[in-house]
Amino acid sequence: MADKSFFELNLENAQNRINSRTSETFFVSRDIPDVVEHLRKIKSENPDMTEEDMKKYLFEEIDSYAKTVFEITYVFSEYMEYISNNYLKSHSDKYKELSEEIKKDPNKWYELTYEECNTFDEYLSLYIFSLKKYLFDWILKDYYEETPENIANFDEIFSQNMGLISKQFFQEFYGLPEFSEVLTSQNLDRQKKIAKAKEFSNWFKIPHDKKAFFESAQLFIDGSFSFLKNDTPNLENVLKQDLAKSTEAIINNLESLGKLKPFIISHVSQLVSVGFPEFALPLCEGPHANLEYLSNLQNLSNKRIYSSLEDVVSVENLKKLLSINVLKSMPIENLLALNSFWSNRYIKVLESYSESMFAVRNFDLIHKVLNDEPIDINTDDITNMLIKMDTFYTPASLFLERQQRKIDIDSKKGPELELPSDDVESKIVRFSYEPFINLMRSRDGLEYKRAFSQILPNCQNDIGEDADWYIRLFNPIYSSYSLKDFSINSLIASIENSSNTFVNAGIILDRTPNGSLPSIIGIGIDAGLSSPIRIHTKKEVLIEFLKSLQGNAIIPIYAGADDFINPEKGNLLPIHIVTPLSDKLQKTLKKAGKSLEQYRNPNLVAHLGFLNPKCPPLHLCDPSSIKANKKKGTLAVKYIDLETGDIYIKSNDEYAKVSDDTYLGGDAKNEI
Amino acid sequence: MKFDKRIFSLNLQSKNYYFCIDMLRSEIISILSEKIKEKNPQFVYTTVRSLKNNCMKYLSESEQSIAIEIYNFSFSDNASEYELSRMMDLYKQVETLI
Repeated sequence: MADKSFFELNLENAQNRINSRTSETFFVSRDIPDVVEHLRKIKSENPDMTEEDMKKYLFEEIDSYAKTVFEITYVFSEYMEYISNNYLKSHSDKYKELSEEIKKDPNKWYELTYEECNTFDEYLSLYIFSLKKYLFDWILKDYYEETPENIANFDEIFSQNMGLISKQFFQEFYGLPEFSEVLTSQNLDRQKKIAKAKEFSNWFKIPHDKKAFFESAQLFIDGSFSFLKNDTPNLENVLKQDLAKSTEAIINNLESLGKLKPFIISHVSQLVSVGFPEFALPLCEGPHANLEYLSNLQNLSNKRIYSSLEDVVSVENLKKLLSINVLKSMPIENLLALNSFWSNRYIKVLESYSESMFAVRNFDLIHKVLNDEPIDINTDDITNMLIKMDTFYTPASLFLERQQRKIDIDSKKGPELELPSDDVESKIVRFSYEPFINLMRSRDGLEYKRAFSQILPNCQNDIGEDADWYIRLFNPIYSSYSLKDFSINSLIASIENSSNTFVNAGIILDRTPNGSLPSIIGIGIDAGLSSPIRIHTKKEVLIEFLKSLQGNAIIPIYAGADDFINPEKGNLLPIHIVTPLSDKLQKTLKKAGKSLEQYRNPNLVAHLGFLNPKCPPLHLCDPSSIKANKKKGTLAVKYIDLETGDIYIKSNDEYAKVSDDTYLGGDAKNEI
Repeated sequence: MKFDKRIFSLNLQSKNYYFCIDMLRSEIISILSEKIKEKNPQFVYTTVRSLKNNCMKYLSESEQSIAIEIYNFSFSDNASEYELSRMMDLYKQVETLI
């Protein structure tokens, strides 16, 4: 039997994939009327629009939604720089060790990107190399050629030429070439040089200039390590800016896609159902935005609650809770967790959007809307359309991956951005889709036309045009796989390195009936937000991350996952929206915490109020730690080795194995 | 660890699909890692991302496609039956590379 062609293999794979996704056809058929309405709205606002105009309009719309995904993906490398900087500041020995290591193969560090790093030491080494490169460009580039070897040996070259370089530097930047004599003096030890630097800095009246001089002096006295603390505010500012802007862009896009209101209604409805309606009030507006109205909804059916909230919830209020100024004031790890939640939410919406937009192309909806023709699409045709769409999946993935590699290689050759830019366009690299379209046309065109002329006879089935639509829609979806990878990596790195930021974080422990861990694992994080963050990932992937970061697969167990179990259905309550905690929300939690007995789900309410690591809810405390007054205790933190399933506690920074049958509950598959 | 087809079959019959998926995943990764080492002896498998990046750098188009699909599976939601079926297809493809 002859080998199958590429198209035949892709078609077979697409049929299997779509047939396994039993709900997908339903969701697309549900969304198509909204899409048609959207096209009609565009038409009414642009009465003279041609088909080509509307296609161009939609391509611009697709592009704007896609940009938001690309905006998020470069946050990862910024975050790893930030973590590396924080870690190295308090681990000078590690800085010294890795500074020696990078000299053994400087070319490797010159070419590597954060996305290619595999271990925590590699992230740290790349950061050290990048820092030395920055300092080399600032101080040494007029004297030495910029090579990987010279960059790796920055400190040695620097100290060997201290006299010449310092004289020139302090003349150029501060008008004080005589400070060079202090730096090169054999009679002054480090402490005395520092003291002299302080004296010299007093020549400057403006505090900013005084600080800048002293920091420069420290760099010359102590070498590149001293510059770590100077880099911290730069890294924090850029990261916060980018995380905040990315989150804001996601919220705006979700609003224009018409998704925010349904999310808020689901969220408020859920709070009403679990008996904590006051926590939903900040998201309500108008005459019914009061506790009495919401409380009276409690005994209604979900459908009735939902319809009763249509005119009560406020998208504007949600946007205020997520305004850029609020976001920028958050601690970085909390902002990262918040951004992870909304990114995940956004990608799911974008996946549905891409299928609906492909339906626009496939069923010629632009033509039909512009000509007021009837639109009637049966579910079989939708399923076949999804199969058609999916035949592009494998070749498109390969094409996009190769483009990403080219971009990574080229970005290493070109000049680095000297200043952070607010414009996402400056951070995106655009490339042509023509090679992909041409490949599809030349390789699969005839087979494609033949196959789909039988399956979808009323569609144009032009592979070139279909491929053009597909690749534009799929590009951000493809990026989202990396986004999830980086997002999990960053959050795990945060959990392992920032134990003071998240009051409670780790895996949601859920054992299969035979006692082993499931293949899909949930990660829960209490990040000082209006709700926990939950992300699920494959156990094997998580084990790989952990071992590459820290050499073992031990991770904390998230305490209190049971608090969020739906009392009626027994599964985890889904999380519809997450926001920072405004003053009003914090007050509500504080007040509720004083009289938990009045609530139907006191543990849930207490858990939402868990904001201070020193004040965990009593039901989450280690019983032996609860003080005599029964008001305070310490969180019962346990750990699990994902490879063996063994449970541990930490004692004097060492892991001690415990035998523990505690079922901490939660359905790990029911993710955000 | 050599791929034990007997254990695989037993778990397949018991419908332990995720267990079977993990077995296939490990085996495919192992085969691709060996192929990479032929071109880059220093390669050591750490994460599926590093596998994908190295496949893109050193291996052929068909091997790259397999690595990309393994990577995408790691970060996307799929029905277990489909993922298992696809993993079996991919395993058959890499077997021909040995």
